Amino acid sequence: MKQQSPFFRCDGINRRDFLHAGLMTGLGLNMADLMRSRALASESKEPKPAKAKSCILIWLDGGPSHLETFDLKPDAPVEIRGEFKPIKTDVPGIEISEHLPRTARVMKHVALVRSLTHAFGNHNTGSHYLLTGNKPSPVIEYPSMGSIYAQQAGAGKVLPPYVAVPEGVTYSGSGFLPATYQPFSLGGDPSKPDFRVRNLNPPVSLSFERVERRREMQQFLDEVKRSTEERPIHTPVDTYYEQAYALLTSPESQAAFDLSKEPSNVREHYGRSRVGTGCLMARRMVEHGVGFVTVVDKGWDMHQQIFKNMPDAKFRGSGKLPALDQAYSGLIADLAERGLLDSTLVMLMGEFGRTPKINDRAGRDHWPRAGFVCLAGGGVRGGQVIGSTDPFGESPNEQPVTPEDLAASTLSLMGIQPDDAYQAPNGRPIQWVKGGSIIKGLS
Amino acid sequence: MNMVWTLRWLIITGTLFNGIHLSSDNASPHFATEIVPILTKAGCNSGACHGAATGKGSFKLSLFAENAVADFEAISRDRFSRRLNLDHPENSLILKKASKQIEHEGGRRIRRSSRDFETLKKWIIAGAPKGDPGIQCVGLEVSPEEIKAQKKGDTLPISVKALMADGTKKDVTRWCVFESMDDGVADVTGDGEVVFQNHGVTSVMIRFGALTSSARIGLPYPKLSHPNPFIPSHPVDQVLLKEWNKWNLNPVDEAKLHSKIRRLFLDLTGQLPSADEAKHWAPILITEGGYHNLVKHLLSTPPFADYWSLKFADWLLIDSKKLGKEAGEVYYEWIRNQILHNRSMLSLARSLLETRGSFLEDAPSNFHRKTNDPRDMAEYVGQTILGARIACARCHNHPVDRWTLTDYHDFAAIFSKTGLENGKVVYKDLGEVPHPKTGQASVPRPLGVTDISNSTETSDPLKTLGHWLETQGQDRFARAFSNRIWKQLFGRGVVEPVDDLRSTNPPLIPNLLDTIASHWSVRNYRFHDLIELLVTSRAYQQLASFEAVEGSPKGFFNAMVPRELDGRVLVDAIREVTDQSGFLNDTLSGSAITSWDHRMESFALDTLGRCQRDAPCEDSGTSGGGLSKSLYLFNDPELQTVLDASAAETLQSPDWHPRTSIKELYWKAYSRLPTSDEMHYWNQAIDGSDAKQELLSDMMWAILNSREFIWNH
Repeated sequence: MKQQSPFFRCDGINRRDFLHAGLMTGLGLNMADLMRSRALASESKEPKPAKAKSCILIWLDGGPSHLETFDLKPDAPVEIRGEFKPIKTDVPGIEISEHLPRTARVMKHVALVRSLTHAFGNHNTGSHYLLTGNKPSPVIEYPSMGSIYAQQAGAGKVLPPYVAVPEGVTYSGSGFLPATYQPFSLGGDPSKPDFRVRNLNPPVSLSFERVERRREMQQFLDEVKRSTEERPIHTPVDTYYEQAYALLTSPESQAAFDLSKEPSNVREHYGRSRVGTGCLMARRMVEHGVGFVTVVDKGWDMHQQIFKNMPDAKFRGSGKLPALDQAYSGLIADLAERGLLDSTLVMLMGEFGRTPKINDRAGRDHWPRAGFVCLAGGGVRGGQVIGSTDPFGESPNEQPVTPEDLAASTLSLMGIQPDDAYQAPNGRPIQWVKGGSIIKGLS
Repeated sequence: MNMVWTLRWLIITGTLFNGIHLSSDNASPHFATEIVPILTKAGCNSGACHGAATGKGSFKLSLFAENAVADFEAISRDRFSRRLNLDHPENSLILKKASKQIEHEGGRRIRRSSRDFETLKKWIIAGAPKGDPGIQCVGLEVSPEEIKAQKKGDTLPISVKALMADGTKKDVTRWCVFESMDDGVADVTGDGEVVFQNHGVTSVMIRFGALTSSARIGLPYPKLSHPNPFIPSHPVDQVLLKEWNKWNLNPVDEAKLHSKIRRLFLDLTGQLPSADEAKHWAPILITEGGYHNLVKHLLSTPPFADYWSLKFADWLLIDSKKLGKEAGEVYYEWIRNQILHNRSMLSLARSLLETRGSFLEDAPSNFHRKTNDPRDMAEYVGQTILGARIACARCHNHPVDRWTLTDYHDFAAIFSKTGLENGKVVYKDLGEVPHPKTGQASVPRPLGVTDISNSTETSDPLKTLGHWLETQGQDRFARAFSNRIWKQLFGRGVVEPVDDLRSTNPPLIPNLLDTIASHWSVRNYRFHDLIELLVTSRAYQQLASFEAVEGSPKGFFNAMVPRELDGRVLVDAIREVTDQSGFLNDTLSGSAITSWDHRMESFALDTLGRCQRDAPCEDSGTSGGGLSKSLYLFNDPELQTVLDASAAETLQSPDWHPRTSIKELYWKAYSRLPTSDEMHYWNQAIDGSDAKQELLSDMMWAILNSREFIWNH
């Protein structure tokens, strides 16, 4: 066993790691370096075939309460169990919240992990840990799983490999990887009737010839610098330009972003909420070959009035849970119906669970020690519960699952070796995920 | 064994180490200074093993031996002393586990045949005494402090002495843990032998017990292609040249005149030089003192204050939503005034630290509205003012810096006497920060200050802190602050991350920040003077080149690092080149760099990049960039309208000619004339086109999308 470095920081980061990482983020790697890195990464091991061709992560930003959703404790004292009752699901023995009745009917597809656990109780650190699979550090930002996927998928497709709907959150980005692997954010609000992704098309007044001419002029300007004594500036922006150009000349890929192509019964099936529309958009993305889609649903940080806000918020059925219930179950059912579920991994989670003890504002605070993640499709064996928490929902009882384990499992399902290393130009490897193990029984 | 006996004998007779306390034959090894370092060396108390917050296998040691007393309890008393077997020392659990005679998850850490094993055993035989608490290691002496190798494969030793509380020294090399910060350059063996692998410079981290230190190591690059010809007169260049010569590095040439002008305007004012300004300054720059004159001129312009107060607003997280629009404005205006009038940054920092009062009348008081948790506030002050990341010491002594748990909480206690009341930052008597170990209220104390007896004339700890900053903390502040400014001007901090100054994170150029700080102190820490000091160096005037920067080790500053324009600067630059001040006028109330409020809605700024002020932004924009930015510059209708309007207006001018137009565009966007190659290309394009307005619009588009425009180089 390799000796633990004595210079491991309390955040678990080895000093050398972030030195090299800093060097990568500080200057931006050029493409030649990236090619080298890719080559190095792929030589090491024969990659396992991907069970999941794509992944949809529904990110419940703010930290959803496990006790109101997927891990109810009806036998706990009243100051813990809260107001919601469990209901039966289509899988005997698995019970979830009464406010997730539609989800209860698709649980046969879902592996429900109830023992997700870590120790980072604020939003930023928790998000970093869950989205990247690496402990947060004050000095280095790790790449999110989506960006790792984007790096592995490489360039060559017109649609970006990693899309955020409607936009990413802190730490859903490329971290120490070049900005090339940031998610492409659709922006705006897809639930609005007139939603379009902005700037996908050249202004209508512009003829194709002019688009070509502009492009040619710009290439001339960038090229000509190479012949002068001032050297060209080679940056990740170049690849964005290629991609931007490819996008605007491909009507087929632009159609991927067009929700108006969906019949209204499908839109109703998902619900017209933000999260519902977001999930529908994610399905369209996946159909068009996007490999990683993060759907961000904000507003789960319920420090107060949790029993009111979860189901009802303003009026009956308008809260977070009913919208999520319809969106999530709608997505799972739709993917299954279209034969896409086997090749699409769907993850549902936030940065942590919430305090078992209800606070004096009828809310729950941050609780990283116990939380849930729902995994479905993409090779996951559904209809099972993995792990459990103690009777108060405070800590895992059986089979604790760390964010490292979760990331390692996700990446493996997608055919990426979690312990593969990203090679810095001077030879220092940084592993995607350090020390995670595949969740037992997941697939 | 023989060696050990010999050593002991030498020690007993006092012939080897003067006055060393090392155990005589009958005496026990000393727990804190001999047993604990063995545990550190073996990795027992690291974060992944028993040093973890919850320990491992129900055995918890303090992280990297921060607390020898607790470790003694854990080993000798905890769990009914099951880890020690005083009757049969050989059977002690701690020995059997560490040597893996019985199952141990962490593997074999200490061999049975080793000297360390014997020392542990000896300690147990002696009854596992706690030892004299007066015997303490207070520091490390590393020699040599710097190793310069000759060739690859060179193997050179580092030796480490522990400085004891009684003033004696003791060689502890073999109990130190060594780690090369860049094993591409060199590896270090467990005995402190540095084995050089490749050209480069880095450092070795050293840990003995709970103490850390570092040594600088390097293997010079292959011989210089030509000796560095210039004789530097500038203090920054003098420091840099010494290092370049030492490690055989050549700097790149100086940038072209037009590049220097463009760079200075962008870095100092966040604005492109206008065509007229670029033309005006080009001939002046080649005259004696011309460059200085331009610097002086730019420092005196309002955009200089605008641009840098915007950066300050990013660093100080001035947020109209959190502070209120009015208070935010007052705070920002106060900062802007300090910059405009070239005030001392040390005084500015002091004001931020110690001002209480009304949000609207006592502007700097807004600094204290960042958070109401004194601990968070302490961490924030540590990072923004002192360049210290103290967060680790919230739960345990900082593993790689000098801050202890007590340092941290005493520092945090300074901010506990502050509250918000009726639009004011007020003093409140009740607040305190309990020490996590003792539960006692911490005593307010500036970071790392050991003696506070003479600074207690005021009962307000903020005043004490302010006074401390100006009288004792000024060097630290000056280094941290100039590192931050250096990064803005050179694209990379002398120390990275910029707010993580500590002895175990040494810069590649050792004396640079000290040199800057001392020259700056003579100028009373005035802001303009610092900027002037940095940009008048030759280093700042070098060619920008990614290739040169990537070809040599980072942090040597032998070429300028090209930097992408901040979204706000880019917006202003687009306005300038297209001559359309109406661009984004619906959201901006003036130029983008004068719009301090980052909450104002702007798709363009979000896409092109601006600081979100969740955390102090060191690099330009934390939002935006990427594909969306490219798509914006490619396609955005807002931008298209501007291009069309600009082309149409230009054509209305009676003496318009496409060739003059392209030259003018070059001046505006690149601060230079087109080369003959370029002119040839544009002549062809112009001759082949009838629709002049479209042509002009497309030319402008191409320029706005070119790298030479989008980058500061």
